[in-house]
Formats: sequence, structure tokens, C-alpha cells
Amino acid sequence: MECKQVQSLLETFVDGELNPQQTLAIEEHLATGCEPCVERFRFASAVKASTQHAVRQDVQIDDSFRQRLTAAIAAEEKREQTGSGSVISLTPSRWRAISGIAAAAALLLVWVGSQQWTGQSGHLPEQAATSSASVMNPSLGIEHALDRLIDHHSSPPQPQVTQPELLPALEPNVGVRVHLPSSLARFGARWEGAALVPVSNHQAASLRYRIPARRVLPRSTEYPMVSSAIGHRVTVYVYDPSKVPVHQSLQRQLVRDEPIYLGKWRGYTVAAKQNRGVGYAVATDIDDDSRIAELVTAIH
Amino acid sequence: MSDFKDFEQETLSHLEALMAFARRLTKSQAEAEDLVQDTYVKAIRARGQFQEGTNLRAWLLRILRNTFINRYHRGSLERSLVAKPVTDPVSDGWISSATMRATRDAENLALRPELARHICAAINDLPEEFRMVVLLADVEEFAYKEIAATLECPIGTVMSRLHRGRKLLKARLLQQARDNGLIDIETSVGEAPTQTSAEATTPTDVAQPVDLSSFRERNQSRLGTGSS
Repeated sequence: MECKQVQSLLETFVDGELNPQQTLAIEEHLATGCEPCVERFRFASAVKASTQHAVRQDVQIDDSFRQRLTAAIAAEEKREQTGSGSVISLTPSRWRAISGIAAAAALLLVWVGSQQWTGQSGHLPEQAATSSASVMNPSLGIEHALDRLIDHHSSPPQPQVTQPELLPALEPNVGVRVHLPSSLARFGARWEGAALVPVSNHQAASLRYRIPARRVLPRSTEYPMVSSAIGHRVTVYVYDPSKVPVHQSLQRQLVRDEPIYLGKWRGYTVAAKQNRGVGYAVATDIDDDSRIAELVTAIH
Repeated sequence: MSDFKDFEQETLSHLEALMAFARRLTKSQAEAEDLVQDTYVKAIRARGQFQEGTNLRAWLLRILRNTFINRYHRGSLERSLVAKPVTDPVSDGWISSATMRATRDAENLALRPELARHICAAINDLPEEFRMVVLLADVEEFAYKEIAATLECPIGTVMSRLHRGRKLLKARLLQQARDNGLIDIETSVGEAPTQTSAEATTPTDVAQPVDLSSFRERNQSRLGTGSS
């Protein structure tokens, strides 16, 4: 290759953007020690390297900026969470105002400790395998679980069990005690049926409830809240919290000294708690935070 | 969501590259920081649009550039600086090998703060479109194709702007090197093209006309090339 041609391709050569034949031709030419071309090559390379060095050494990132940046990112995360996959923010005063049980139908997913029911310590071997899988990807497992629960709540299949006395039949699959929380009856909630829901390699029991259209209730100490809702559906999930720790992706709040985990998922409210090793989760379309809180505290 | 944290971590690994780019576009450190911060927020909001496995840095720089254009330039950038064609002091044969070697040595000596500042100043003087291409090619070492994707323009445009931008840069650097006495006046040949009057001296290794204007006349067609 002639010097003239080499020099016209030199810049592209330095950028590594020539095709293999051209690259080889130039390398061979430079290898002959052609002084003007070699010098131009070195000069072009030096300018490129100096440019890179000069720009990089002029970068300043101090701690205060890093803090501002991570704060801005965190704010963005929070902003997102109060959108579709989000956290309910309940101010402490609202929680304190909740006194009795209202007709709200927030269902709590109940986590049920396996120890509680089976009396065994530790996990069964096959269960241990699946739980370690969810531990490896804990957050993926949890979000998938919430999705499954919301899917089930939003499009419920036919119930598998409609008689309360048959609920214990679900217990071997769920791994925890399955019963109808007696407190929900006081909300006027009508139980429609139960089914098994596969949730990340485990199973939960779903208890479907409907809270009928509101009647105006007399103000009393027992029913301090008069809700204005039409009928709502509420699904209570009962499962083993050590297997499906849904609460990890929800926000922890204290309601009269009891930790409750709340969040919004795809437009539905999810609330969860643990009671004596049992996990309960509730999915509902009720939007009223205080009503959900009342329901949550009622379940035990 | 865990994918948020993962994404946050991945994007933060490109913080220095984004800051380097932002600093060369904006007029102050404060502006650069704001630009970078806005870029991160936008990137996070748009993370669903990022295709896993593709060049994240290029994607981030594209957001940065667009944010810069929209925020500071109401949608457009200056496209060209000089009305007349820019001569390339090197390929036009005005500079001897000795000069190039001397300049290169001088530059190597001082990966010196002053020289680095001069280079930064020279880059800042480039029109923004040229500047961006030079930054992506020389600092980030993106392939031409990646530069084209980041700047959303054809590869041909990338190549011509790169060539032109580097010409301007080289001319400026040579001028600075001479001004700062980093290269010996006797070894230099001709004037940097930014100067209007030429004190031409005969180059030692290439046959050239003594007179700049007759040189230019004889090489009109060559001088007309290299425009973007």
C-alpha cells in the first residue's frame, strides 16, 4: 500500500474500523518502518490517548453529589411504588384512630408457620429444596408470588371447597392450618369458597369473601366507621410464611403494636401479617386504607 | 422490586463516563451534575425500554445527550463553526515528522495538568456535534456503529464529523504546543490554519511551496475536502 493511501486510512486504522485486509496492509506498511507514516500513526494515537486522558482526569465526583444522586434515585423508586406496585402510606394518626372493626374487607394473607401445624421442626426434604430455590432468588420469588395471588384474586376460578368443615382437606397441600377467620363474619363478609393456589413451588389456600353492598350502620362503639362502599371482593390467603415470605416486598407498619405489611400491587391492596407463626395475606380492591387497617387488625 | 436495585447498580457503574461526557458539554460542574442526575432519573423511568445485553453505556449517553439538547439547547445544536474548509496540518504536509514527534513527546511528558487543560479547552471549543463524536470515539472508544446509535445519526456522518473534529483538535493542539514552547519553532513548518497570516518556511521532508497563498491556490480542491 502506498503512503498516500495509508495516510488517508490512518485515522480509521487507529480507530480499529478498517476491514481485515486494509488493517493488515497498513500494519505491513508500518512494519517496513516508513518514517512519515509511522510518525503520523504515532501522532494520531498520541492525540487520541491524550484526549482520553485529559477528559477523564477532569472528572469530579464528590460525595455530596453521590448522595444527591442516590437520593434522587431513591425518590424515583418511591415515586414508582406509590403508583402500581406500591406502598400504602398510612400516617400514624390514622392508625390510632382505628378502634373497632368496620365493614372493610381487606383480607390478610396469613402466613402459617409449619411448626404450628405439623408439630415438626424443620422442613421436609422436598420442601427444603424448593425453599432454597426461592432463597437464591428471593425477590423474584416474592414478586412472582404477589402476581399469582393477585391473578387469583382478580380472576378467581371455581372454588374447590364450599363447606367449612372440609377446609382441613387443604391443609396437607398448604402445610398450615386452614380455617375461616371468625372475625370476618362480623364485617358482614360472606364466604364463597376456598381453593388451592400454586405460589412459587408451594401452595396457599385462598378463602374468597364478598362484602355486600353497604347498609348504613348506626353509629355505635362497635361500628364507628360507616363505609360508603358497594360490594367488594376480598381474598384471604393462608400459607406458610417461611416458604412464601410475601411480606418482604410490602411495607412494614405498626398498628397498635402489631406489625402489618402493606402494599399495592397492580391496583389491588395487599396486606399481610403473621400471627403466632401463621401468615395471612389479603387481597382486595378496597381503596380505603383505614378500612383495610381495621380488617387487618381484626384477623387472628 | 429487585430489578430496580440491580438496574441502579449497573447504571451507577457508568457514572464516571457519564460525568466525563456531561462535563465536556456543560459550562460548569454544577450544570454537569444536574445533567447527570436528570439522566439517571430518566434512565430509571425508561428502564423498561432498555434491551438487556445491549450497550448500556451507549443507551445512557444517548439519554444524557437528548436531555442536554432539550434542556440547554431548546432542541438543536450548533452544527458547524467555520465557514471555510479546515485544513489538516498533518495531512496537508505542513508539519514535519520531527514536529509531530516533538509534539507527541511534549504531550507524553505532560500528561501534565496544563496540557490536559489545554486539551479540554480545545475540546470545549469544538462545535457540539463534533465534540460529541470525538468524545465517544476517543474517550469511550465506541465503534462507529455505536457512536451512530448513540447520536442517532448515520455512520457516514459519524465518520465525517470525527475526521473534521479531530482536524480542528489537532490544529488547536499544535498551536498550543507552539505557543507554550513545547515544540521548537524551528522544527515547525507553516502556520496552524487558524491563523490568518502565514509565515511559511520550507518543510524539510516534503516538497512544498514557500508561499502559503500559492500553496492554497495550488491545492484548492484538496482544501475543499473534509467538510461534513
